[in-house]
Amino acid sequence: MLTINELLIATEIGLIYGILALGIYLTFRTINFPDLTCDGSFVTGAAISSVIIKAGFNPIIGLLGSMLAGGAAGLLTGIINIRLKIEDLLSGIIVAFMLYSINLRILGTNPNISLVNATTIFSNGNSMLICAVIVVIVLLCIAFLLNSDFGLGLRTIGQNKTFASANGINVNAMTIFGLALSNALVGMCGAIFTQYQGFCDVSQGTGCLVIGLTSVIIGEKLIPNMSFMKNVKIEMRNFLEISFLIVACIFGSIIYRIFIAIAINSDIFGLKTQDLNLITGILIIFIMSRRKKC
Amino acid sequence: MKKIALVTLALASFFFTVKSSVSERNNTLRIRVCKVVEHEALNSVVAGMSDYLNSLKGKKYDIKVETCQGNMALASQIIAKFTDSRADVVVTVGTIPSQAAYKFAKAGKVKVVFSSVTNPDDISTDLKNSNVTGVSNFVELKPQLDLFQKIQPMKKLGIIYNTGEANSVFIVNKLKGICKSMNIELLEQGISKISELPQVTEKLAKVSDAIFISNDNMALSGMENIVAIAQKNNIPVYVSDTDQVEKGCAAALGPNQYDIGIQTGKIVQRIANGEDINKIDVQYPKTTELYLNTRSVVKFSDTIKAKAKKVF
Repeated sequence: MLTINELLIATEIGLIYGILALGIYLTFRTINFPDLTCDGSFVTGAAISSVIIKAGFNPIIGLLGSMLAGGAAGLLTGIINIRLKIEDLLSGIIVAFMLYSINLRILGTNPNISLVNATTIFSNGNSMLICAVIVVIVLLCIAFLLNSDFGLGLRTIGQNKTFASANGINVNAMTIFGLALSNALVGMCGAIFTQYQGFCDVSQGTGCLVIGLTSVIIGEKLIPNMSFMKNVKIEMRNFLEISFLIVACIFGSIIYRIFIAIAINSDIFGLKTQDLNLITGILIIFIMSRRKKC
Repeated sequence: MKKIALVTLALASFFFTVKSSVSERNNTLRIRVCKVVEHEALNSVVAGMSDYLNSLKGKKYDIKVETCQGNMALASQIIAKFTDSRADVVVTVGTIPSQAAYKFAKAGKVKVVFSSVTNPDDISTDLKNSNVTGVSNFVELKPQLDLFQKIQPMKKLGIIYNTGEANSVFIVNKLKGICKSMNIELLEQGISKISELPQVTEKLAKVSDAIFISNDNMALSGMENIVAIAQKNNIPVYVSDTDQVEKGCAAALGPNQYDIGIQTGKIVQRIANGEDINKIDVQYPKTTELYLNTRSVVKFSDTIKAKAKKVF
């Protein structure tokens, strides 16, 4: 019983969570750092933007604030990992763990803030259009960044740290920057989602990592064979290739949401919402295994 | 290509199952329920509502229940599904699904009856003309504390709650004021994970005269644990949820969850009979019941026992 409207809502949520997927892509794939900060920084972004909006500021300032806060969280993970030499997985876990307390502090007296009567970025205009515009702006920024000399450096450290460092790239600084950028995106995603929903809850970050990473992986399975670009000039080809990769994150996220919509609608087969994780998981395994055979 | 064809086919099969049940809906109302989590108390609410509606003669009620697993994005998607399947009334049990449904109701897409929301202000401070009404599970705290004082005079009352649950923070803030006026010292103990419960309870049980658990989902999930530790330290556990008394809590003066469900069902019935949802005010539990447990560490006087609805 999947309807067009449900697909639209899945797409909207997918677009928003696409920014999260993009953030995860930057750490897990681009700089090859298994960063688990996102469960915390997602809520930090959401909380900061809610508080800013509640105080009567422009919701755009809320988004910028959430990026800064998310970025700070990523920075912290980077510093803990690089300077204090704590293992990458653990530093992310610790920061996300600590952020729970900080998020409650930011939210103040109430772990659940309602924004229903406040002005958000979705107050005026079509929410699908607003999501799409934000996603396109973010995609363009990231595509240009990754294609610049700086971005090439960033991508190199994910491929081969020794090679990168031999070519004069400051691996440590780059890693910290990558983490900050990734979590800034995650924080912004949290802020957009909160404004979209109209409320912010301290528990809303749970499972972000799984959602984001799954979206990235689904997205990767969708990327077409790049061989048709043989005749394109190398600079252009580089740009197109990286664009494909990051656009795939967004599409992966949308498809993930559509899977959930399908799973919610599977009650005609006698399934219940408690089976949702199982159904979603099976659908994901399905799409991932199909590609290999083709 | 084959893959795309398969996916399209799968999607198409979902689109075309829509029409089947439309023909016989004249006298049947679609009631769709979204619960925040699987939880005894919430399940009793849903059971109370379903039993009440199903016992009515005349209109038939087609009731389906989903759980959003405490996840906001999922709540939105479930409500969207309800809205699109032309649900006559959407019942949201708990704060998170109610908040997710508010947006759809405000836009005039669906009528929402919430239940078991402690503080309706969390949904919106202004529910007028928003197509939302419902039943809060908040009961006045003063009578509860008065009763506990009568059972056992106390100076220090410990409370365990999840700092991440809006309903609990709301209750604790209210309690602070009331305890001050009654000269009771309130010892708050926040938790963020169920695994913290044993240590926290142990610590609190040593310094307080009694432990009070309000309708905090996390603390309620670990009720057996709290009771065991409190018994060991020879102090009673008081609750707001009467269903918990059986597990060894000393007493509860609270609403019966099942009755809250019936109250919710009555609102649904009024809407089904054509009443304007915007003219129905938000309700609070009408009656509270006293449940006692004689196996706990405190002794009850006969006057208190006489008031009890149920004594275990």
